[in-house]
Amino acid sequence: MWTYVIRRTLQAIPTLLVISFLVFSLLYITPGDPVELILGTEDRKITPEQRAIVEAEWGLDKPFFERYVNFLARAIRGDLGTSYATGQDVFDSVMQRMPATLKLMAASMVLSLLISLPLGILAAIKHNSIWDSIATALATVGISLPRFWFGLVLIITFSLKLGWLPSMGSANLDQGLGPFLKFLILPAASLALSMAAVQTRMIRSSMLDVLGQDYVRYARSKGLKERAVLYGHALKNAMIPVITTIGGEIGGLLGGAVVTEQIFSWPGVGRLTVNSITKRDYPMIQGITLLLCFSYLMINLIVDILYGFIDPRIRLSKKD
Amino acid sequence: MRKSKLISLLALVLAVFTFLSACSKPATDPQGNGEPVEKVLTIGTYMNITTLLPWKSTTDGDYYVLNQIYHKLIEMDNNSVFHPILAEEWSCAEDGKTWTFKLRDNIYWHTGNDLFGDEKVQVTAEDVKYCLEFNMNPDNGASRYSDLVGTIDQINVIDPLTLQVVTKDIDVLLEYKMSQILIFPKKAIDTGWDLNAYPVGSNAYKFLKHEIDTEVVLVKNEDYYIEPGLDKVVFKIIPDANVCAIALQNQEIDIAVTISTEDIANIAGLDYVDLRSSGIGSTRWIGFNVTHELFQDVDVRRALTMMIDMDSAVEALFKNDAGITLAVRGYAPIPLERPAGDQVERYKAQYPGYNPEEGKRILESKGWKLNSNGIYEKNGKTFSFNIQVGNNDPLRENLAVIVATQLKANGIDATAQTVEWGKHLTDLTTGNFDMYIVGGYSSLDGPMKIMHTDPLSFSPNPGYSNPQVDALLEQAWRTVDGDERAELLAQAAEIFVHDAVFITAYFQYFQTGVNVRVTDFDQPSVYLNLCAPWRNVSVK
Repeated sequence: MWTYVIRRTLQAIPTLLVISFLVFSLLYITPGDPVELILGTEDRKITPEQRAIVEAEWGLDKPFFERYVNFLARAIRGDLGTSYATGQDVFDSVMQRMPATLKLMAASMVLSLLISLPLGILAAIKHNSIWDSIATALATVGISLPRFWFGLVLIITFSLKLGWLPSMGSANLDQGLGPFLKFLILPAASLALSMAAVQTRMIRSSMLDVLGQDYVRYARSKGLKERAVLYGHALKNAMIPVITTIGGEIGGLLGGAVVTEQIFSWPGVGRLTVNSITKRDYPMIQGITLLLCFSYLMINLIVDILYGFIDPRIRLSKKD
Repeated sequence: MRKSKLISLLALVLAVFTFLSACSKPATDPQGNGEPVEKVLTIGTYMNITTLLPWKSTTDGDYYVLNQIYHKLIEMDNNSVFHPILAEEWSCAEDGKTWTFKLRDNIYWHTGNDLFGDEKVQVTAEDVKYCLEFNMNPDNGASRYSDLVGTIDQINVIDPLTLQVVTKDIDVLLEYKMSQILIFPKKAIDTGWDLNAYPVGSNAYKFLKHEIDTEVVLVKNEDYYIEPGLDKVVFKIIPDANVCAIALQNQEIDIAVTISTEDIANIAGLDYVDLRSSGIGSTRWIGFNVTHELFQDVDVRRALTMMIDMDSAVEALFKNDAGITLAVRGYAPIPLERPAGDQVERYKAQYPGYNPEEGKRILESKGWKLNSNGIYEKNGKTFSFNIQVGNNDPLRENLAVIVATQLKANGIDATAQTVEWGKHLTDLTTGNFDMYIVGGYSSLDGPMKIMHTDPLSFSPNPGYSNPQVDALLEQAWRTVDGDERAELLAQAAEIFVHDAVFITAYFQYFQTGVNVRVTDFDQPSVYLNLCAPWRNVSVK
C-alpha cells in the first residue's frame, strides 16, 4: 500500500506545478499595482523613490519567469511568500485560520451525516413510499436553497426572533462547551443542509442499487435478519460513491466555506480568501489556491485508500 | 420500545435547546450585590484589521482601533476644527512655515507590557520627532510618506515637550496632516518590538488582544490623565452589513458603524437604537474622460449633463421608509460641511441644469444628428460610450444604469458597465475608460486632489488640467486666512463646475446605529478618540 501512496503523491507533483504556473500567470496579468497595495497609500500617490525601494525589496523588478521560479523555489521549502496587504507570512496566515475552518467542517459534516444517513436509507428501503417522497423532496429543497439565504434565515429565526443563539462570532472550546456549541450550531447547520441534501440523494440511489444485487438477495435467502443485511452488507457497499462525494465536500470546505464564514463572521480560511480577493492580495490568493489544490489531491488519495478498506475487491484489483 | 426511544430523543433535543438558550444571553449584573459593573462598549465594524502598525494603516478598520491606542498631536472634528490631543497647544509663526507644538506633560507610554514594564515613561518631543522622521523614511513604507516628505523641511526639538516643525512652503494643511500621524514609541523600533502583534501607545485605551478576523479588545489605561469612561472596548469584525444590523437589534453590539440603506427602516423603528448621520457627506460623481475624443469639447460635456435628471436619480436611490436623509444633491466636488462647500448657489449657477432639449440643441449645433435608430451620429460614428463603475457599491451601479437609461432616451448610446474594483482603479489610472463613477475625497485636502493637475497623484478627474484652477488651488493652499482660502477654493470650484469635468451626483451620509445606553458619543465616528478632554464615551 505504501508504494501506492508514494506513487500517487508523486503523481500530484506535476498537477501542482501546472496549477502553480496557471495561478501565478493569471494573477500576474490581473490589473492592479502591487506597489500601491504594499504601501497601502491613499490616493495612489507614490514617489519614484518609494516605488524603486518596494520593487527591489519584493522582487517586483524581476522578469516574469525569474519571479515564478523564485516563488516555486520558496514554495517547495514551505514558504508561500508574504501578504501584500498585511505583511504577514502567507502560510502562517492560512494556518492561523485553519482550526476554525476545520471545526466548522467537522461539525457540518457530522450534522449532515446525521441527517442524510437515516434519511437516505429510509428512502431506499421504503422505496416509492411516502417516506421516499419526503426524503427526496427535502433533498431537493436542501440543494435548491442558496447557502447565504438559508444562513440569514437561520440568523433571523434563531438569533433575532427567538434569541436562542448568537448571530455572529465564534468561541473556542477553552471558553466552555456551551459557548463553543452556541456559536457553532448556526454556521454548521447552514452548511450541513446542502451537504445533507446531496448525501441523501447519493445514499438513496446507491442503496437502491445495492439492495437489488445478488449478494443481498443471497443474504436475505440465508435467513439473515434485515438489520444485518442492511447494515452488514448493503450499507457498506453503498458507501463507496458516498465517500467520493464526502471527499469532494471536505476538499471544498478546507478552502473555507466562503459564504457561510462571511455571513456568520466565522474566522476561517474562507474569510481570508474573500478579504484577499477584495484587497487583491496576490501572494495570499496564490498561497490559498495552492494549499487548496494540495488538500484536494491529498483527500482524493485518502478516499482511494478508504475504498480499499471498504471493498476488498478494489484492494485486490489495485494489487493486480 | 419505539415510543420510549422517541420520547428520549425529544427529551435530548429539548435539553440541548434549553442548555443553549440558557447560555445565549450574557449574564446580567445581579442587582444590589455591590459588585462594580464592567463598562464594555462593543462596536461592530465591517472592516477587517489589515495591520496594527501605526505608520502602515490606511483602512477605517485599522484606524478605529489604532486611534484609541495611539495619540495624534491634534484631532480634527466633523466641522474641520482642530482640537488638542497630545499637543496641548500649537501655533504658527508669522512666516507661515514654522509651527510649534507644545506637548502635554502628563502623557505616558502604556505600562503593563514587556516593552515598558511598570515604568511610567513620558511621551516627549523626541518621540514625536522620531515618528515623523520614521514616516518620512522611504525604507519604512509608511502610507503617509509623500504627504510629509513633500511639505516638511525640518523637525526640531526645542525642549522635551516642545517640537518645532518647519515646512518648505506655507502649508495650510499641516495641521490636517499632523492629525493623521499616530505617535508610537521609539523604544519599540529600537528593541524590535512587534507593534503589529502588540501595539503600545499612550492613549486612553491599551491593547489587550487581537483575535484574527474576530475581534480586538482594548482596556482602560489606568494611568491616563482622564479617567476613561469605559473599562473595555471591543471591536467586533462583522463583514456582512445585514448581520451587523441584526447584531445591533439583538443588542449583541452597541454600535454598528455602518447601517446599509435596506436596514435603515428596521433600525429606525427601534426605541433602543439611535441613528446618527456621518456628518460629512462623501462625494460621489460621474466623470468624463476629458481626453476621450467624445468629451474634449466643454459644450458637449455640458450638453450631456443637461440630459441627466440627477435630482430624480438621487431621490430614487435613497428613498427609504424611515424618511431619513441619506444623501443630498451635489454640484461641486466640495462636501457641504467643508470650507467653501456651502457656496451651493454659486456652483448651481455654473452647473448645466436638467434641460434635455437644450442639450440636444447644443449637440446638433456641433454637427451631431439623430440617425434612423434614434441615436446621435456624426461622420458615420454614433455617440456611443460606456459608463464604467466598480463593483464595490450597488448604489453607484444603480446610478450608472439610471444615467445610461436617461441618456439613451435622449439619443445617446450609453451603456452601464460594472467591472471588478481593481480593474476599475487601474483603468482610471491608465485612462482606459469613457465615463466613470467613483467617490470619496471628502477629506480636507479632497478638493485639491480632485481638481488640481498633479502628475504624481492618481487623478480622479482624468485628463483635466486647467492652469487657472491650479493657480487658484495653489494660492488657496498657501493662504493662512480661512475665509480667504475658502473663497479661492470656491472660485476654483466654479470654473471646475462650469467646465463640466464631472457631474457631482450626491453627497452620501452614512448612518451609524448606536444603542441608547451609549453616552457622550457625540460624533458618530469611531475615527475620533473615545476619551478626550471634551468627550468621554461610556455606557449606562
